[in-house]
Amino acid sequence: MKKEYKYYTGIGAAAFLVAITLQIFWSGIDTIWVSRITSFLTTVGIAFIALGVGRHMIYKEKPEEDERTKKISALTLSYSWIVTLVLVGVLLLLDKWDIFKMTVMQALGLTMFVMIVVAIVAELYLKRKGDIE
Amino acid sequence: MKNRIKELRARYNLTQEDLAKKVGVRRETIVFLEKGKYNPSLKLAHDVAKVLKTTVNELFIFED
Repeated sequence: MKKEYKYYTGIGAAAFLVAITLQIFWSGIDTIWVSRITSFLTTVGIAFIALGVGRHMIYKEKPEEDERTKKISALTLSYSWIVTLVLVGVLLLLDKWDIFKMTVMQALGLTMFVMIVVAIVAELYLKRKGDIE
Repeated sequence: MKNRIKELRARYNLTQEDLAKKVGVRRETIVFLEKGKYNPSLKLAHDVAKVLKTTVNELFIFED
């Protein structure tokens, strides 16, 4: 297992252990904060363990990225950023002209959704293509 | 841009995975390189040429 995957798994396991310890020792005290902290630590622990073990299962000792994938990732982020910027501009104008109104939560949700979808689609397309022209 | 990577790789009995490992890239990058769909950096071209015991000029065929 690569060193960084070991670190991820170790951090996850540590967070998980702290959460379990807190749960055991503070079980008598009914505080909402203990519950919140243990929930947070459990989530973080599981996420880090999944990250370490999952990446190890996918990549093993192979490099996760190289010069080609780095180039693709950089362009993907640029595409995602530009599309999101245009979307925010359009939403702003639609709101200003009273054509389409959204709540802050809806606008943020849509922005995040578009940003992630564009990044995933662009990365898939560019990886199939092989290189950036 | 064409190249002789596949030919030389076969000569030295290397798999795409072996070559990728030796030059520190992912196997997919070697696949696209062989197909001529990826233009490598000068460093990668040099590393691949070195592993295949040739020069960059002999490995890659530049067309006008």
